[in-house]
Amino acid sequence: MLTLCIDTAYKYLTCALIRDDQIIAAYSKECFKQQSEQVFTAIKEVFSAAGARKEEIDSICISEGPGSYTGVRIAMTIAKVIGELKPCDVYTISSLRLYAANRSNCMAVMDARADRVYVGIYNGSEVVMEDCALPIKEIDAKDYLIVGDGALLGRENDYGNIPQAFLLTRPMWKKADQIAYLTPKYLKESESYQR
Amino acid sequence: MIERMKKEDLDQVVEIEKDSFDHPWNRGYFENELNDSEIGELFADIENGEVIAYGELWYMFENCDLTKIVVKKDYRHRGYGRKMLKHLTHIAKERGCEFMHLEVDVKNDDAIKLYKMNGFTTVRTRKNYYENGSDAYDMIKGLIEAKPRKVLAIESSCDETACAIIDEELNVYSSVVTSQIDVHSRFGGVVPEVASRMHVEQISTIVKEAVEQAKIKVEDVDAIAYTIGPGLIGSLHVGGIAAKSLAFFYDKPLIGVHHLKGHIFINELIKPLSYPVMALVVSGGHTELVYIENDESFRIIGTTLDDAIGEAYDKVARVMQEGYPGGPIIDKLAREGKAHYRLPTPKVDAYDFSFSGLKNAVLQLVKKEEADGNEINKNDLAYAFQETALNVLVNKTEEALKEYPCRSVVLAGGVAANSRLRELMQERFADHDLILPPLKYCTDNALMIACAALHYLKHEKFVDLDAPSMPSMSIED
Amino acid sequence: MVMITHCETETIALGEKLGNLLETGMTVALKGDLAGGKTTFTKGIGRALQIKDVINSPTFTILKIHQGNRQLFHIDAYRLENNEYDLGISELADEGITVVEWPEYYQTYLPEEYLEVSFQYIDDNTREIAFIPHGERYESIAKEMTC
Repeated sequence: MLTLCIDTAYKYLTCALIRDDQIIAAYSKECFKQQSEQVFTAIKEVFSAAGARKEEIDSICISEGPGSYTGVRIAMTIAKVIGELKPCDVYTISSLRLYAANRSNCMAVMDARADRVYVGIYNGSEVVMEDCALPIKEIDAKDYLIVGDGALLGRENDYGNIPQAFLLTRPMWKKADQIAYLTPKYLKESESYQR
Repeated sequence: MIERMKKEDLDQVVEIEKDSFDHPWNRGYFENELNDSEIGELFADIENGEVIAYGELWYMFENCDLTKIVVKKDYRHRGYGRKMLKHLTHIAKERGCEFMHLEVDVKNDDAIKLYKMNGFTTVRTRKNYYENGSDAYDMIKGLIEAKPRKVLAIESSCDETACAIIDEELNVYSSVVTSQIDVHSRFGGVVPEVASRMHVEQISTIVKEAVEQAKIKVEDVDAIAYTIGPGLIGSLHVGGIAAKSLAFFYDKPLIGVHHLKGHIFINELIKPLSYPVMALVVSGGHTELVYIENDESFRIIGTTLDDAIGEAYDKVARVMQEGYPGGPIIDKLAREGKAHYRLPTPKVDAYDFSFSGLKNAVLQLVKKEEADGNEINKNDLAYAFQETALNVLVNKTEEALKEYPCRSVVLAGGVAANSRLRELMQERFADHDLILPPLKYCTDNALMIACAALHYLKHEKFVDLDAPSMPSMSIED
Repeated sequence: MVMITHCETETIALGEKLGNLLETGMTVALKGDLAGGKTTFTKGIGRALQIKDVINSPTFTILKIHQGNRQLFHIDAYRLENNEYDLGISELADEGITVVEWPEYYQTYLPEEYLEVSFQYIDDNTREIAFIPHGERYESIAKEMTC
């Protein structure tokens, strides 16, 4: 089993190839708002570093958001198009949950602009508080380890090792039943304009 | 019936061979070829147990040699040679051979004619090739028939998500479009973020649908094209990422198409363009006169200094408190209208356009009529606006053609669907090779991107996987 | 805090003056009727930002993004009618200057602090333009504009 993992939701551009239970190649660089130009360079790099052929992948895992609107659409578009046409399985994981990476008592935060943050609280594999967007002033972070934009809460920024986080959170990946209907989790409003 | 030669055919074959050549192959040679030759394969045409003709192929990697075709004396000039040649060509193709080669005596006119008729060409003469001192021609035939190449194209520059597949002979395999117009009409315009989100929702369904309707596989296409610009940045990104995904995972060259070239080249579905071409490009975002010397040289000779023609329609519809989009609404109202109101014709130098003043004139007229207590006749106002605006377009095009004589005149873009504009074009440019785009292809679609992409393919103009989208790209770039 | 302009050129010049005073991340709300001079004024702001493409009011796309030495986000909110959808504009606003025409339909998205510019049609050429600061950091700009 060979899985291509992609996270373009926020500040980093991360690609990783996971074969069975091992990361066989990884790329992770800060690349805020440049991901759409760089993403295929990164994907190419992990395939060549791993000596893997792209025909070999049988699944794709992406972070579904929240994050930058443009960013979350990049990995989502790749996963939807390749997942449907190749076809191959598509898995998604919340970007906040990914950054929390199964740590205990962990609050993952991300700047949502206009004095708000995207926030989710995780304790190992357990969801303590679902991802949502909240005003910064409503956040009480004192009991938690903070990952993500900690500086917004007077702590340190820490995005961790994202390729490793993909591997660690693998039991929490959600398999998409209908790839065509996958949409990013923007979190700030209704998910679809179709209604 | 032609089959692989068998041992029991050999008696007859050796006789025919002796009868046909001064230096015949002997029985041992044939036996050898039948038994253990890896590279040679013999065939015989047998009717009622009688060998009529035979021939042999030698395979050498992607090439094969036609070593001989022999027809029994009594059966010559009756089509058996041609029949054998066709069969051997078929076999060679099936074996994956790319070229078929043979030598023939320069004096053997009948054989040379047969080969030429069947697609062989002489590549050189070999002096003293045969034992009797005769020269020979080397002849070859390519076995790979150049199949027209296919392009899969994705369009997502504004509010339509679309995918289409076409080949170089302009056979349309599929063209799938979903419009977001219902959603955007709630906002009275295209909201960029909303458009981007809808593109992501639709993209995989649309591409898959186009591939399925075409009854092909992505592997079968020869290039992936997408709209690289101009357009809404977020919308362009989605189509770009989708196209790059296909190009990367299926190892296909990638073509970044200028959106307006798509609107222009969709006209080739009607008939070929004769260069030079004058294109009047009219849409919600563009009003341009483009002089096209050939399919690689585009020059904007006139453009709008303020509103695009489509925007002018939207704004006038707004002044009249009609809906969105304004184009079809005003076109329809104007059909019922008559010359009643007078609006000033916008005056701009050279071939440029301006519609902002015309929009203001409409507004002032409405205000004045209201102040005077008159009810506005919307049909007549729509008529006055439409006649004024569209006459500016065709007049400028006419002027431009005096300085830049052209063979074809084409109309392109969403506003090309306007019924009155089509009428005016037909009235004024009947003396030119005028092409009006099919109504169903006036609005954004991917087929137009595919049509334009064929030109990029022809000139091998490809882009890399890290090519950025270009929201305000010029057609001259 | 009112200025009178007597022709398009003056309106553009006034817009250019404002464009030079604006800082990245700021929002300007332009109030006034159709043909009130809002778009002309925005052309001036665009000139200050060294934007080369044509600036016109973005009816078709509601938001137009222009790239100069800074980005200009030009919004025509007329048909938005204060709906609740996220237009993604907050994601952009920090990175450039936002100009909103018809802000009365944009209440949902308008930041707490912004500069209001109000246009009054006097006659074909003459416009009365008022600068009303909402929030501290716009006060000095409004003052500067009217002296």
